[in-house]
Amino acid sequence: MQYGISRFWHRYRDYLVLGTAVIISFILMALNDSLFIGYMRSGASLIVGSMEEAASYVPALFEAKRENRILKRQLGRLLLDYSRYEEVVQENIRLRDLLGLKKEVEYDVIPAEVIGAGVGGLPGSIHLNVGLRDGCRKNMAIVTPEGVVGKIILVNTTTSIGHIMTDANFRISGRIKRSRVVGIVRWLYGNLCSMDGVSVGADVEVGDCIVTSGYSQIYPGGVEIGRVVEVSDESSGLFKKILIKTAVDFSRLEEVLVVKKKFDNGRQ
Amino acid sequence: MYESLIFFLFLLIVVVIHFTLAPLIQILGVGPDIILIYLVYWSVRRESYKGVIAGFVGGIIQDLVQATIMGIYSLSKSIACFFAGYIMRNKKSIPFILLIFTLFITVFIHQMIYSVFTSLHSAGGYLSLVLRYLIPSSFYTMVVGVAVYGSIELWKKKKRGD
Repeated sequence: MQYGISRFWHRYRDYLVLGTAVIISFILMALNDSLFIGYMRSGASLIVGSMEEAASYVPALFEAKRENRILKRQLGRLLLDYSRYEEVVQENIRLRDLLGLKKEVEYDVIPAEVIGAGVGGLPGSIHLNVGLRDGCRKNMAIVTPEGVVGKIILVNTTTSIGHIMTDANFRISGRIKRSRVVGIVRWLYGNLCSMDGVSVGADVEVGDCIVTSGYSQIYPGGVEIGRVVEVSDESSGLFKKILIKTAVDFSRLEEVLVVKKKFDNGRQ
Repeated sequence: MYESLIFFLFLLIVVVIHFTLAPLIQILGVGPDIILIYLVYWSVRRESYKGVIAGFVGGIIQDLVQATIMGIYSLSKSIACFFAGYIMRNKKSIPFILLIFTLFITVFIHQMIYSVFTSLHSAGGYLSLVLRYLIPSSFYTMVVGVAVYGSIELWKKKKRGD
């Protein structure tokens, strides 16, 4: 009997192990959103994230000098812009008071470095060197000066994982800045996205800027998502087919900002 | 036991390299799968079932760290590594050309399975994924694989004093 089992195992072990691995993989797919998988992800990202943080110093050293030069130039420009911005903010506060509007949500940012990214398949996630100790929390928006990047989906003490726009499951509510039309933006391929749910009669033109709608509790309103590069009517005749080029170049993400709400008077 | 420990330690190093250095050599958003290159190299020298276990462990780590749908990489890498071991079964020595051929087949199988599951959630559909990611990333992984395997083989030859 024992000899029989042993012979069976030796003869079919390749297929048995493969079958087991396939079954476990399917079970894991079914359990994707479970708490257990969440804990596992958190633990794995803590271990690998710490190693990544250490390893990321090597490429960072090569980049530091060039970045420093660029940042100094940008800082000078931003200081000039900031003085103008301060005046506009004060003016905005006065006007809102005059009109009796509620205060807008105020945001703070946590600067973060991208220390790792998913490659090989579709780049749907990035690893950041900020975590709980830096004030980073789940569902905080990730942006760059150019526009929206994604949101935080997993945080541990020192690192976090961001779900970025170039993932098949990513959706974001967008608004056409000029005509205020709202739709759902989702990734197609490369740096291209589509904007769904915009009716045929809506006012959309090539070159229009798409910004976040402000409907979400995650993303601040008015942050650029991208620009319309192609508009046509869908075959169903009900909606427009809108192609958007993302404002952010996802193949060159190095530094990002994690957006933290300071206070929210309007949405208590 | 010792072999498994060495495999796991190297796997951790390769995972870190994959997530930190591989993004720097991306071309148009397409990068090589360095984890798969390592797993195939490990699997071709062992029986298929050991390759499956290696592929499964490597895939699980990638699934966890990359925060994709859990199980996609463990499935695709288990099957890919099974074929890596299967192609090389009963071979006493592994010619370099056959090693590269095996890498090509396994990378293609891996990317095909991965694309099937990812396309279920993608707006672009399967064909778009095949053209824009499957073929370019398979080719890129192959090129990096040839460079890595070639370097290892050369180093081994030098060490043997050939």
